[in-house]
Amino acid sequence: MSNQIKVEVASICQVAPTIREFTLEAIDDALYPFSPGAHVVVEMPNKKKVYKNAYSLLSDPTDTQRYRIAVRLQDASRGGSIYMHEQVKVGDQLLISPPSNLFSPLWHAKKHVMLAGGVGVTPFMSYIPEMIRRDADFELHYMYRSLQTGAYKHELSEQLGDKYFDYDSDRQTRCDVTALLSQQPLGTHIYICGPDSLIQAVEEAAQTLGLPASVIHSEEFAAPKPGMPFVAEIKSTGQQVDVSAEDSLLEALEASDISIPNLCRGGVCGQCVCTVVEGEIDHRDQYLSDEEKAAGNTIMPCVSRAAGERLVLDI
Amino acid sequence: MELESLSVVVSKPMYTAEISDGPCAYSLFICEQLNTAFSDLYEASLADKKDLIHSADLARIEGDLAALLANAPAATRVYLLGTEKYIWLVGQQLKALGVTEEQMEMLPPLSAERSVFCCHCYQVTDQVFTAPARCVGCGKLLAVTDHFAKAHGAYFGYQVNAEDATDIPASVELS
Repeated sequence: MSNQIKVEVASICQVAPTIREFTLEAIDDALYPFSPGAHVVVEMPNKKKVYKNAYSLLSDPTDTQRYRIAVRLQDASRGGSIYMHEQVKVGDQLLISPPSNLFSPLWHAKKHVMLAGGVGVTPFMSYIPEMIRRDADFELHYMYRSLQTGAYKHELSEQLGDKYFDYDSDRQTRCDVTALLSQQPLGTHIYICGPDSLIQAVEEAAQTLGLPASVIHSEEFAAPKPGMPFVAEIKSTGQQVDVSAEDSLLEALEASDISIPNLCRGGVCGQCVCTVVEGEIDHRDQYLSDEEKAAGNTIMPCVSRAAGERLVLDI
Repeated sequence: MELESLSVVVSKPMYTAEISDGPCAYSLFICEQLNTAFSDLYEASLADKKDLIHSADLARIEGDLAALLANAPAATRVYLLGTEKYIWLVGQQLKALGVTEEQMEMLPPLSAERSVFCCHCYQVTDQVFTAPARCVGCGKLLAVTDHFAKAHGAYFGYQVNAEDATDIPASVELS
C-alpha cells in the first residue's frame, strides 16, 4: 500500500520479561500526530511470509518525531511477535500504516476509568498525557503478572500517584471489578484493554450492577489464532484458495492477489467483512454482533475461519 | 416534490408502557403530573436509594437534579412522565449531568399534544393538537412533520402555504 510510512528502529528495550518496546523514528517527513488510543499496523518482511500486526501507539500523541510500540511475545505466536523480538534490530527499517483509532476516549465523560490487563496498558499510555493536559478526572487500574508483564508500572505509579492502582496476580493481588464499578459516579466511562476474559468479567459486572452498556468500551487485538486448514472458494471466479493452519483467511486471500480492504487485522474494526454464501463459520472477531454471527452469512477474514473444510465467499 | 421528501423524515419517538426495571443502585422518578401508576412504580422500586421529583418547573428541576445527581452512582436509572416536550427537556438536563439515554425510562406522554419548532422564526409553539398549526412566533401556518428534535422536545414545522397564503389545507388531528 502506497500510504505506508517508512520508519527506522531507533531503540529497543525490554520493559517487562515478555515485552519489548520499540522506538520508531521518522525517516523522510515528520510522523502524523495521532489521537489517544490509536494504533499502527507494522509490516514484518519475513522471508516465508509477511506478517502484519496492529500495535497501539504508546508515545505522547503530539510527538511527531517518534512513535513507540510495545510487543508482547505471545505464547501461541504465529511468528509476528517472535519476529519483532528476535529479528528486528536497532537501525532496521520497517513499514507501518498511518495511525488509525478504534479506541478513542469519550471526552464528554465526567470521569474516565481505564482497566489495563498486561500489555493492554499500551493504549492508555497515549491517553494519559492528553488526560493530564485536559485536566480530566481519571484512574488507571493496571492488572498484570510481574513474572511476564507489568511494563511501565514504576513510572506510571510515580507519575499518577493516587490515580494509579496496581494488581499483580503473581503476588496474589487481584482487582474486585464489581466493587470497583459500584464505586464509580454517574457519568463515568470505563475503558478496558486486555484479554477477552477481563473484558467479559467487566461487561458482566456492569450488567449485573445496572451500568449502561454505552459507557463500557473495550479493545482487544486478537492476533489470528491458528486452526484447521480449509479451502475458500471465490464465488465470482470459482478460484480456490488454500488456507493453511497457520495463515488467516485474509492473509491467504492476499497471497492469492485478492485484496480485501482492512485496517486492524485483529477482528475489531469491521473493514474486511465478507459475505459467505456457503459453509459454516468459526467466528473469532469482536466486531459482529451475536445475531450477525448466528445468521452465519458474514465473516471477518482477518481472524475468523471456516468451521468445516470449505467456505464460499461472495467476492 | 421537496415537500414530499421532507415529510418522509420520521424520527417520532416510540414509547412503551412496559417499563424495564433492571438492576440499579439509585432510581430517580421525575414527573410533571403525578398519577397512581407512577407513584406505584416509585413505591415498587427496589433500588438502594430512590427519590421522586414532582414539578412542572424546569428551572427548579435543574437545580434539584444538580443536587441529587452530584453524588449519584454510575448505576442510576431515571423514570420520566409528562408531556413529550417535558420529558425530553428534562432528558437534556439529565444528559448534561452524565445520564445516558439507556438510563432514562420515558413513559408514554400524557397527551397527544406536540410542540412544533418553526424553521422560519425558530420559536416553539406548544400544545399543538392539529395540523397545520399557527406559529406563535411569526404567525405562519405550519405543516407539522414527524421529524423530532430531542434537544427541543419538538417537531419540525415549516410553512405549509408559502406559495399561496390563501391555500389553507384541511385540519388533521395529530396522533
